Amino acid sequence: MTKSATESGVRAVWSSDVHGERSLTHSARSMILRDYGIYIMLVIITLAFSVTTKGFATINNLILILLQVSVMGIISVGMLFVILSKGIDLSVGSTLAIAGMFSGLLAKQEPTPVNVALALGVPLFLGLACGLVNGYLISWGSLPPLIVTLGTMYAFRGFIVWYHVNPVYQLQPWYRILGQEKVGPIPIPVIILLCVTGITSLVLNRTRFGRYIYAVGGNEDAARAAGINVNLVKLCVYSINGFFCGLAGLVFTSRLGAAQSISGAGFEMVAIASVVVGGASLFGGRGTVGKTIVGALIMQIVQSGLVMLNVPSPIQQAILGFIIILAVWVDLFIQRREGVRRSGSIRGLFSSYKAN
Amino acid sequence: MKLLRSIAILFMAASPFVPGGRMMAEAPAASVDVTKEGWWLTPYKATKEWTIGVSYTDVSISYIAALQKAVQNKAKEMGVKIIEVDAKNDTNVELSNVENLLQQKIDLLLFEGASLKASGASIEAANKANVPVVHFNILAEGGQYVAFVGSNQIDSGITMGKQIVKLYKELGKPSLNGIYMRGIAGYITDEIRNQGVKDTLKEAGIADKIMWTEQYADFSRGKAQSVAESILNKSSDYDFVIANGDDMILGALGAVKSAGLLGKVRLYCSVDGLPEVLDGIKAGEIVSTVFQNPEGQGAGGIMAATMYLDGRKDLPKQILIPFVLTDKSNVSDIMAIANRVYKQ
Repeated sequence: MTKSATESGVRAVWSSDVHGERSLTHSARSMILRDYGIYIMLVIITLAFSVTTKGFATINNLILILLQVSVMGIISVGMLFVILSKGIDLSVGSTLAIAGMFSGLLAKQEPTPVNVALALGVPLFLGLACGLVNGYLISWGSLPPLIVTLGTMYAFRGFIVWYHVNPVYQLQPWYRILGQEKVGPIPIPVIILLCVTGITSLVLNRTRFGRYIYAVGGNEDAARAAGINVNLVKLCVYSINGFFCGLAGLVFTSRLGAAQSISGAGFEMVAIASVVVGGASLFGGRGTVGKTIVGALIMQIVQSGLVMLNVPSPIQQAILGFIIILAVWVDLFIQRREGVRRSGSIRGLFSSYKAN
Repeated sequence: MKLLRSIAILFMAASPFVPGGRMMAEAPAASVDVTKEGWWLTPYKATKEWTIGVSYTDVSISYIAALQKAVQNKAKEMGVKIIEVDAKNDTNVELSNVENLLQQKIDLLLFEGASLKASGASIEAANKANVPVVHFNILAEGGQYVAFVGSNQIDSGITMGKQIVKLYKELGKPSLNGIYMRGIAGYITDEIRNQGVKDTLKEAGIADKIMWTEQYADFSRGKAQSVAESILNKSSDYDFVIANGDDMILGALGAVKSAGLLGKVRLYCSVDGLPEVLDGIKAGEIVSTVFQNPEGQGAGGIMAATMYLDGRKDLPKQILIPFVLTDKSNVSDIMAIANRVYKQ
């Protein structure tokens, strides 16, 4: 991300210096395509549904879609951290179920200040703890992330189904606030998602820790040679992801008004898809929070739109699968075209350095 | 995966075995009338400590967990040993589970098929090993079996259909708009309930009077809530919602509530009888559900199996545990059963 930003900056400078006005606009256009291709796709999909579906292009529906994407958006942001570090986390759904179940059990108790604090705090803590387990095994245990989180996906799910298979409901009224109330017209889960997006963007773009994550994902050996504590970065990345799963579990349970041990099954795949549709690389080092949220939004808009069009769910699934491949393919296509142009203008690149 | 599975089987095999007390007055195998309502509650003692293998579809579903609990309690009471396995909704896992059970020299296989059509291999494996098979909850096709203890699944759909006919007459409108929350495409419990509903409407001659908006919601509460929100956002002009499972009607209830349509869009009927839905019926938020009895199916299944081993050969091939339409009038009675079997 930092790398690509520098590159675009450099290119913009040399194009104006060497090739003049016409070339700048050309380069700017491809830059827009590359950096904003996913946003253009979002707009196209939204327009397509607005035209075809009655009641889609309304403020109400916009707010509803944001509400529906909030839980998956939070998980996807966590997943982005993991994927940036060249990892993967399959245990997010199971972590969400553990956090949600304990939150629900506590939210059923008398609403004393202690119980309220516990119902809000325990899911975050449990999410963090699950993330720490993953992170420790992956960093200091040197085990592959796919294996570790596949294992914990089964283990966490097994535990929570064994611990409390029946749903917990009749939660205290105060607990609804988090998932069902609004501030003005904006539902609280959407506000939570916006906060998560803002804070994580800052962390990834403006802090040393953020740069370390990109560095570890980009080239682990180089990062280690540069003196970065790679194990610590990985531990932090999985813990952050776990924490967000806990937060998502809290919001999800509050939104449903009940906790279930089977909650979140299959969420890992949707989260990974959102991150990938948002243009992040599964090989680490590339991706942004904003685009990940857009990726999650695209998935949700397609799903909601198809439901409103009354398309049968097996066909919805097939279309979603197609969208995932299309999004990544478009992204790759643009990347490749860009790569060719960049290497073709190597002389200009040098001249720009001279100019600087 | 294989290792995980074996550990799980070992764990499940070790936990439930507790020998029962020997004091209660007991009925001999021949005297229990399996057509009488509540026959599975009759106290009964096995003549010998039989070992019965029990194969479930997926114990992470609350209904199946309740079924399992009923099996365990009755087994303990009768003094038989059970070895339990979980197919996790996968016929391949199911087959290897059953093969493991047969290795452990079980006297009988109490079987809940993970698939209507694709569980035959497991049944045939038991047949080949000369281990008798009793089906419970789901009657899978293929192989030989001694008896089936469960409900006739299409009846739940027919009951739902009758409810809609009743609503149609009550409202007196020329046509009704309904939302139908379907389960998972291709699942037997989804398809057969759909068939029951639609056939009943056709028989009553109002099939073309009900305008359906149908969506699969995977038997999941979260998915159902999301889907219902989108549907209601497009138009709130719906008269009722039905669902092929209680979790989905609860999801729809959440959506109807947050759209402020409670009372206008009726949460009309679903299937299962989970405690939360029964509470909803009591509170007047949900109109009805079709209760299927995990206690009857679970305790009845293991009891029929034990009676067969004890030498009773005249068991009917189909021992039906009827569905019960549950609305405000009988919800308290049903709640007593549900609280017993769904309690954690």
